Amino acid sequence: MIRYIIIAAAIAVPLAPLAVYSIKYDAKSLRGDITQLEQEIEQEKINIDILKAEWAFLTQPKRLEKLADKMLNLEPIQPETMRFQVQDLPFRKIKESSK
Amino acid sequence: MIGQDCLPHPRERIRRNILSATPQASAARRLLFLMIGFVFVCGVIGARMLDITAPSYQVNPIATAQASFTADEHKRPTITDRNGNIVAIDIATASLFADPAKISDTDNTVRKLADLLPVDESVIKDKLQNPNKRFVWIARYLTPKQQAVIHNLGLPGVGFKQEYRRIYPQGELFSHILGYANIDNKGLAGLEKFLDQNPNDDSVALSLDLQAQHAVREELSISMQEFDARGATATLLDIRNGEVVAMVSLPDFDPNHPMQSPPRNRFNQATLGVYEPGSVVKSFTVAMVIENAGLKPDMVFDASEPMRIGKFSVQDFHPQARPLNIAEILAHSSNIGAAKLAFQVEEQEHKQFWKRLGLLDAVGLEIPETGKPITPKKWGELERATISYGYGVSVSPLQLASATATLVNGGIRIAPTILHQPHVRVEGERVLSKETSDTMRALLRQVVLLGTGKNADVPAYPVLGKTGTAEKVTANGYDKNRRRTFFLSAFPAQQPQYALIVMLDEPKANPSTFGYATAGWTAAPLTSRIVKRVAPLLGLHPAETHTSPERYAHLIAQP
Repeated sequence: MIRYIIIAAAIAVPLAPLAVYSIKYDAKSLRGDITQLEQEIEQEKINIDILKAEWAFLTQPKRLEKLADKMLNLEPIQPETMRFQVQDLPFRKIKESSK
Repeated sequence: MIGQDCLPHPRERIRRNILSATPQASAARRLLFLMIGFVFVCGVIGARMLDITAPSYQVNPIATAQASFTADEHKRPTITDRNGNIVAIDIATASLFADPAKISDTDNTVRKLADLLPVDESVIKDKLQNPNKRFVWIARYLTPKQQAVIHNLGLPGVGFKQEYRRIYPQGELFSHILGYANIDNKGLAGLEKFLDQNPNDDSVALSLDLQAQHAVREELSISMQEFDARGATATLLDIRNGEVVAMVSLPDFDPNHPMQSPPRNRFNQATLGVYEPGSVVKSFTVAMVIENAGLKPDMVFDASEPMRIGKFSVQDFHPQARPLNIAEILAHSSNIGAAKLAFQVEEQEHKQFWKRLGLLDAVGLEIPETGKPITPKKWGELERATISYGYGVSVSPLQLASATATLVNGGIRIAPTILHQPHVRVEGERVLSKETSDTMRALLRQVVLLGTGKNADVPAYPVLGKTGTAEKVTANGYDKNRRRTFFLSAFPAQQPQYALIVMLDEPKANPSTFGYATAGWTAAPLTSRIVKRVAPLLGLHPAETHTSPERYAHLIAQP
C-alpha cells in the first residue's frame, strides 16, 4: 500500500511545480493583457474626449445657424407659431373596427 | 560450527546488506535519489522563477511615459452647459521636446524640424545650442499628423511627451465666464481660476444655456453694431434659484487664444465693471417707499419744479412739469419725483435698503472677477437725492440683475450662481414683502405698457422693466453726449421667471431712433429682441396678451 502512495507522490512532486509554473505563466500573460486593455481604455477615453470636442465644434450654434440657413427651408420659431402645447393636442380618434 | 558455515562474518553481513536488495536498503537508496531529484527540480524551478521575475523590474520606457502621463498630469475638469453641451475639455496631444546633448547633427535636425513646424529655424537652433540643458520644448501641442511625420524622420535626441491641452469648442461664446488657462494648464481667470482654487470633480455643469447664451450674444452684437457702441453686456438670471442662464460681455475674446485680444476685451463688464446705473434704480427707490414707508402707487408728489439741494438742482430729462403719482414717477422716469420719494424714509433706512438688496457689497460668484461697488462715504441729502435716480453709486450689472430678481420674485434675495446644482436647495433671504413685490411687478409692467419702456415689449411674452440712461463721467464731470443705457427687465410679466439686465456703452443715435440714444430707444428694443428669442428656448409658452397685469394703468396720464 505504502508503495503506491510513494509512487503517486513521486509523480505528483515534479508535476506540482510544473502546474505552479504554468499557472504563474498564465497569470503573467493575463496581467499583460490587463495592462494592454487598460492602456487601450485610456487611449479610447482620450479618443472619446477628442470626438466630444469635435462634436462640440461641429454643433456650435453659430455654425448650425449658418448651415440651417443654407440647407433647410426652416425659420426660427416665432412666438406666434407656438400655439399649442403637447397636452393641448386632441387624442387621435380610433376607428371602431367591425367585428 | 554449523553456524559459522551458514552465517557470514558480521562485518560481511553489513556490507552485503547495503549492496544487496534487502527491502530496507533499497528504500533508503530510492529516497536518496528522490531527494537529489527533488532538490534539482526545485533548483531549476527557482532559477527559472528568478529568471522570469527579474527582467520585469526593467522599465519599459513607453509604458512609463504613458503611465506618468495619466498619473502626474493634472487634468482639468470638463465644463458643460446646463444641458451637457461641452464648453471646455482637456484633450491629449503630443508635444515635441529635445535633449540637446544627444543630438549629433544639430543643423540637420533644425532644418528638418523647421520645415514641418510653424517655428522659426533660428528659434529652434537657439534652443538646441544650449549645452547646459538636457530638456527643451521645441513645439507644444502638435497635431497627430505632425507627430507622425516627425516620428518618421527618426531624429535622435528628440522625443514626444503627451500633454493635456485645454480646448474651448464654443470659442468666444463663454469667454468671460470660463476665463482661460495658460499653456501649462493653469487657470488664470474666470471659472478656470476658481476651479484651481476649489478642486472639483471630473466635470462641472454651468447654469448657463448654450442656446440662450448664443441668442443673447448675437442680439447684443447686433445692437452694438447698430448703435456703434463701445461695449455691451447682458445678464439673464433665473429669479427662482439665482442661476445665471446667459451672461455676455462684448467685446469678448477667444479663450483658446486669450492673449491675442486686447486687455479691454478680457474685461468682464457684467460682473467686474461697476457703473452708475441711472434711472433703473428708481424701481428700487419706489420699492423702498412702498415697503418701508407704506406709500401707495397713487400718492402724488409735485414734480413741476426742479428740486434744489444747496447749489445743486435735480432736473427731469423729459419734464412733465406737473404733480405726478408714484406710478407716473416710475413710468415717466422723473428724477425730481424719485428724489422726493427718497426723502420719505430715513437716511439709515435708505442705506439699509440698498444693503439688503445686495447693492452695497461685492457679489459672490464662482469667478474671481467681481467688482466691488463704489458707494459714497456719507449718505447726506445730496447723495441720497442722486442715489434715488441712480447717480453717486456704482454697481455691477450682475448686482442689478440680482436686485431685480428680488424685486419681482416675491421679495426673496438669492445669491446668483453660474453653476448648475439641481440637487442643492437654494436658501433665500426675505427682503421685501410679497405684497410689495406684487405691486412692483404691476408698476414695472406699466413702464413698458405706457411709459419709457414701450420698445421693450414682446406681444407673446409680456415684459416688465425700467429704462436707465446714465451720463458717463469724464475728466470734466458728466459728459452729456456719452452715456451708458440700461434696461432692467423681467418676463413673463404675469409670473416672472427670468430677470434680464442689458447695458450699452456709449450707444450713438441713428435715424431709426429719431436721434435719441437713450435707453428707451437703444436698450429697450434690445431687451425685446432678446426676450423674443430666448423665451421659447427656455421653454416658456407664449401668453395670451390679456393675461398680463393691467393694474395701475388708470394712474398713468397719457400726454
